[in-house]
Order: sequence, then C-alpha cells, then structure tokens
Amino acid sequence: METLDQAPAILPYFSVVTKRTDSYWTSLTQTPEEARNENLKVWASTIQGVVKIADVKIRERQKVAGVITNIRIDPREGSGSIEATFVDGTGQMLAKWLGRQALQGITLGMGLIIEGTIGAGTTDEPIVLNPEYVLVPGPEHGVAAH
Amino acid sequence: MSSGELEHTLLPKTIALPVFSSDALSSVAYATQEILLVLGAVGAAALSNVVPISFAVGTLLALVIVSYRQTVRAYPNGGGAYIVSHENLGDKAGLLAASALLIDYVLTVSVSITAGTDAIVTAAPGLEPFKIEIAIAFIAFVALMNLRGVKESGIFFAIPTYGFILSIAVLLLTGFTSCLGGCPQAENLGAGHLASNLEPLTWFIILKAFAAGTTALTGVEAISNGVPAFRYPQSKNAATTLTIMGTISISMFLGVSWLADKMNVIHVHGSERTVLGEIAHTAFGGGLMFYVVQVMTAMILILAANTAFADFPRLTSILAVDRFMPRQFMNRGDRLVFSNGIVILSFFAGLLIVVFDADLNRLIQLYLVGVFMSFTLSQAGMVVHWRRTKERGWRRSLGINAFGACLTGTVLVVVIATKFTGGAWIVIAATPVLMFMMHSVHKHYLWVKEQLADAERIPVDRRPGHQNVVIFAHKVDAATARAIGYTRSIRPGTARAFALDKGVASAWKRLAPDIPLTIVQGSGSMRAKVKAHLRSIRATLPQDEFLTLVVPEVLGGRGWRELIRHPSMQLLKGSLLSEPGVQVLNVPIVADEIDPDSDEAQEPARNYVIILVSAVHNSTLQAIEYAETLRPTDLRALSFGLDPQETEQLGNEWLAARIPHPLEMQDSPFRDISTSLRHYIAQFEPNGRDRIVTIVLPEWVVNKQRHQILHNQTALIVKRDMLFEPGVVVASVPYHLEDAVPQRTS
Repeated sequence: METLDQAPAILPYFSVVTKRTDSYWTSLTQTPEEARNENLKVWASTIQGVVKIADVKIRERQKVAGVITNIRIDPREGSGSIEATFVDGTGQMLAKWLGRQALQGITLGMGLIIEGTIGAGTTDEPIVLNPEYVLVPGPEHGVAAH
Repeated sequence: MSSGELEHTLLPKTIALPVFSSDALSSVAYATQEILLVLGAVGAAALSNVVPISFAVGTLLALVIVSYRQTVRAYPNGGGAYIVSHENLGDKAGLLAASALLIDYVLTVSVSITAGTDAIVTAAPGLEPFKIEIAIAFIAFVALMNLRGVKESGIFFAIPTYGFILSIAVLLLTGFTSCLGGCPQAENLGAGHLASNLEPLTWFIILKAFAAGTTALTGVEAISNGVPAFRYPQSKNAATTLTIMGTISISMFLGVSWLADKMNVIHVHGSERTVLGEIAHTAFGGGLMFYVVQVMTAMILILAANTAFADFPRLTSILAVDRFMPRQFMNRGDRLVFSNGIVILSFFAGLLIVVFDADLNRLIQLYLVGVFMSFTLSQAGMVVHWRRTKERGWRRSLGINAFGACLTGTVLVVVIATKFTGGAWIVIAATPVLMFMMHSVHKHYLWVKEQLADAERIPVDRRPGHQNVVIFAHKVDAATARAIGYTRSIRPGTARAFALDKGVASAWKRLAPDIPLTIVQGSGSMRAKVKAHLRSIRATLPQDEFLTLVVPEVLGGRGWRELIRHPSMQLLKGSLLSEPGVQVLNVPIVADEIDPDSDEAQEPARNYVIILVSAVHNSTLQAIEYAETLRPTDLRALSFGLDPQETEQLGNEWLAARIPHPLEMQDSPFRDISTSLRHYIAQFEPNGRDRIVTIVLPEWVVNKQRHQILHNQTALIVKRDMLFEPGVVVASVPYHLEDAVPQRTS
C-alpha cells in the first residue's frame, strides 16, 4: 500500500482508492478512545484561529479550544475556584477561574474556547488562569451524553 | 466485554448506509406483496392498480425523506420522534411518540423476522409447517447475539445490506431484460385461479391498498436518530445518506411492483411464495439466483430486526434521563440493564409472532399505526421548532415539515380507518397504557425530588466523635482485621462488635482487645437477629449520631457468581437499607489479595473519602455529614455527568449551598459508571493496608417496596462492582423519605 501511495503520478486514482480503504480500515479497527480522539480533532479543526493543545506554548497568549471532560469546584480556596479540564484529541489542558459563584453554562461535553496566557501546571498539562472564554456546542458523540 | 465497544465509531457514508438503512430497505421485501394482497381480494382485474399505488407510496416516501432531511439538519445530536416531539410539543406528545416507538421496535422485530422466515419458506417450501418455530429461533438467535454483545463492525452490516441491494438490482435487470420480448408469466403456486371481479373496486379498497403499501416507509427514522454516528460534517452526511437510501428504496420498490404487475403475480393467503420470491422465480427460472435472492432477503430482514435491538436501549436510556423510565435504564453501559431490555423486546416480539401465527399480513396491520404516529408527531414537532428558532431558511423548512406532517397525518387516519379491526386497535389500546406507566414513573420521581428537597431536615452533628461503630464479627478473618483497623482509624465515639457464634470470641480477644464483643443469641434468621441487636443499640444512642454497621467480608473470587454463591451477606446488607438510623459500611476483601505477612489489623494512614452525588438534596447532605465523621485524609464529592444540564445544575447548587468540600464532575464517555469510577479511584492507589478509598453512597428509601426498584440503582451497581476492588470500602447512607420530617424534638 505504501508503494502505491508513493506513486501518485503514475496511478493517481489508485492512491485515492488506497487512502479510502485505509480510512475505511481505520474506521473499522480503531478503539472507541481512538475514535473519540479523532472525533475531537475534527471538531476542533472546525474552530477558527485556535492552536492544538499539543502545540500550546507556555507563557504565551494563545487561543485554544476543547471539550470539557471534568469540572472541579473547590469552595475552600478563598472565594471559590472552578477548574475545567478540556481535551481536543491532541492533549488536555486546565482552565481555572477564581472567585466565581456559578458555572454560567460551563458543563460537561460543552465546547470551550479560551484565550489567555498559558502557564505550566503542577502536572504536565498546561493551565490557564481566569481566561476569557466562549462556550460553543461540543461534538457530543463519544464525549458526553446526549 | 468493555462497554466502550457498545458505541459505534464514526461512520463514513458507505458504512452508515447499511448500518442505518437495513430496516428501511428491507421493507421492499414485503411492501408490494401487501398491496397485491389487498387488491387480490377484489379480483384479478384490480391487480394492475399496483403500479399507480406504488407510485403514490413512492412519492410519499420521497416527501417524507425530504421532510426528514430538515430534522437531520436541525438535530445534529440525533432527533428521533421522541426527542423532537418532547422538546417542541411537550410531555404528552413526547410520551405518545415514545410509546409509539417502543411498540414500533417490538413490531419491527416481529415483522422483519416473520418476513425473513417467509423468504426462507419460499426457498424451501417443506419448512412451511415450522414457520413459527423458525421465527422464534431467529429471534432467539438475534437476542443471544445481542446479549453476548456482538461487536457490530461495519462489515457485519455491509454484507447483508449491499448483498440485498445487489441481488435485487440483478433481479430487476434480469426481469426488465426478459420483459423486452413479452414478460414471462408467474407460476403463482398455491394461489389457484383468481376470478376477475369478485367485488367492485372501491376507493376504500384503493386507500386500503395504499395504506398497506406504506410499509415501504418503515425504518426511515433510523438515520435521524443516528446523526451523531456519522463522520463530519455530520448533518450533511446524514442528509446525503438519507437521500441515497430513499433513492435506492424507491427504485427497488417501484421496480418490484412493476415486475409484479407485468408478470401477473397473484398473491393470496395460501400462496407458497412471497411476491418477491415469485418474481425471482419467474425471472431466474428457479435457478441459483432465486435462492440467492431469498437468502439475501432473509439476511437483511434479520439485520433489520437487529437494529431494533440497538434502538430500543437507546430510546429507553433517553427516556430514563428525562425520568419517564426507571433511572437504571440511563446507564446503557451496564450489561444487566441492557440485557433486561433485550429480553423484554424479544419476549414481546416472540409473543406477537405466536399470537398472530407468524402471519405477516396480520402483523403489518399493527405495525403502521406506530410508524405513522411517530412520523406525524416528529414533523409536527419540527414545525414548532422552526417557528421557535427562526433559523436561516426557516420558512422553507417549516413549509416542508408542515406539508409532511399533514401528509403523514392523513395517512395515519387512513391506516387507522382501514386497519382498525384488523389489529391496529391493539396498538391504539396499548399506547395509552404505556403512556400512563411512563407518566406514573415520572410523577413518582417528582414526588421523591420534592421530598428530598424538604428544607426542614435538621443536620446531624458533624463532630467525628458522633460516629458509633458496630462490627459484625461473623468470622474472624483478614476482612475482619481490616475492618478493625479501619474502625480504629476513624476514632468513633463508641466502638463495639457482635457475633452470632461463640467460637469467634477467643480469636477476637487476641485481635481487638480494645473493642468489646457481644455474642448475640436467640432464635430466628441471621437477618432478624442482626436487626434486633442493631435496634437495641440504636435505642441507646442520641438521634443526631450515626450508627454504622461494619460488615467484613472475604470473597472467594471475583465476579457476580461469587455473590450468588453466598447470598446471605448480600441479602443482609440489602435489607438493612430499610432499617432507619443505620448505615452499612462494607469491608470486602478478595481471597487472592490477602497478604498473610501483613500486620493484621493495621490502621490505614490514608483514607480517601469519595461521596458519589447526583444532586444537592437532603440525602446528599446527610451523606456529607456522614463522610465528615470518618476522619478523611481527603474528602470530595464526585459526580459522573450523564446529562449536561443536570451537571451544570448540580455545580450551581453546590456553590449556592456553600458546601465546604470540593465537588468533581467527571465525564463518563460511555455511560459506564463502574469503569469510570474504577479509573477514578486508581489515582489514590488504594491497597487496603495503609491506603483506603471509602466510597460513600447517599441512598434514599421509599416506603413502598415496589417503588424501591426505581431508586438507588446506580448505588446498587457501584456496590456490586466495588466489592472486588482492592482497598475500597463502601458505605451506604440511606435517607428515609418517610422520616423527612425530623424525629428529633430538640
């Protein structure tokens, strides 16, 4: 298959066919997690002007999109904090807001577009504090319930 | 099997077509036949009307598909008849659609399997006397496949569906070619001679034949349900697939009807072959291709039945989220729940086949009411949707859907009028019964919600000392030792133990001299003795203190068989749920994790306490107070969000209630709480010795036993599955709804 792919000039249609069968094969063999990641990647690619979580640069102001998979409310820290973990199929990232009294639409399965200065979190994942954000519909399937 | 496999991966159009359209395409196998059956009853002369009537049905199908393309665009997350009508027309319309659909799924199985059996019998007429048995065997086969959890790969769907399309295409081509020089005439085995004019051909007969032909429309809804399974752009791909499906379906149907007319196929009760079989036999002269067509037809019909097995649990899960069905149906990942749905579906489908003697014609009489009821409700809902949202191009879409709704509404009236006495009345009678049942479930949930929100509850004292522990020393083994260590670590106000057997006393003395042991004697069952003893202790304690029964348990192995082998402990724990003022903390240990070298009653240094919550109400608040008495290293609430709106509401209520503990809301992508929870607790690395995870389950108890089944099912699943998790103990904290008014007078 690889050799055919490398000969597009000779067999232009063939490469289209092999690519098709490849994606076919993938769709039949991938695990639900892989399918979910792929789903997320395609979803994220429909959002304009964002960088992939895997490509996020620390200490720079960036715009990132992902789907919320975990929300943590901690009322102990001062006036309370809300943390949302979001994923885009390439990685996961944390957004943290301080001093909020309501979720205001932030919920599981929701698409989140944030813009802010990225910091390095305590774990490997990047974190962004009090970012500006917009909520958009998530891809639904395979991320959260209906 | 991992429940994740239940989910379809994202499908390209070429795979989505067979996955979602087997039901719609398979109706080609019997739609023409139903028309001929009606026309044949008035005489051979009427049979030529099959072509214009099929044209009318084909046009209707085209219009319904155009209408459903609008639904697919508007509901990218899946817009089945229930969702669309519930959202736009309200609860009653939603329930009507849901009832229609539930009945519809049962009938899809009965009708498809019966038609598939007919195809087999056509190929092998000797099997005619065993039709019912064959049909039941097919249902059993499909049910078993689903119970076992067959991995539905695309190929599984693609072979029968494309095979059927291909075989029909060959049949039509051969038929048309042979007709070039005058069509070959059908043998019409078993049909006998049909008089030319038995009865006058009235408009009623024409309408009746038309209504019979509308079976060609069944299964159109599947794609509108399945939009989320499509590749991006999902709505566009789904709409395209819908159009492709419609084109194929209409072409095959019209082709078959045309050949039936030209070949003079007669179909009456007693015909040996199906109409499709007769045409195939005539066109191919009974050769190999005749058998191929029969086998392909049977295969796609069985596949169509299989789709109902996939759709049924999906609908019940959505209904459960909206609280019209017991909440346990929400957890589609749970095998037990899933299996119940399959058993119910196959039972009713089988029952219908037996009652109606595997007679396709009589079964179809029942089928169409539900189909057109859901069509009409869904499109009427879309009309309201467009008026409400006023999206770009809404006027056009509204027009299309309104026209579609009127059209299918009219057909519904025709179907009811022509088929009422033939069996449609059964469906019309069953629908309100189902609606009433779902409504009652809903009402009950609302009542419970109100009870749980009762503001008069007086909080229990939160100080750790207000915890009282009783250890049930059934035996003295590794689990008992762990229970002792656990009890010491929480420093309860009082700690004691009891046993039913004097024999454990000396071992107990050696292991836990600090905890006094009582031997409970007397007659009666174990449960009765334990309960009586607990009541006597409860009577000595202040109302605002907790009393925890610690139940140590050594399990011989993993898996549910272990629970069936030793049911007494499970029954005891279950029955104590209804005992007011007692919490049960289960300390299980699986035999293979016992470490003989470890300090037997070691106090765990770290106790991570997780409260599983679903909403902020009295039961949750009580569970939080309970958790606080366990001297946790870390205390947090955890919720697996099965519904985004409920999740947001929970978060906001948590903040508003100013609960001083963190709440974590975790996505459970495949709606499988046990697996998600297992992943979650893995971060604490519980080992049962120095690191323990305590799961606190708020439960509520209603006084009527038969209502209890509507509650705590998640808790039940968690309790069952967490038994085998190393280092995990589970505390169940029941809240008695009848005690919603505090007993305390202070």
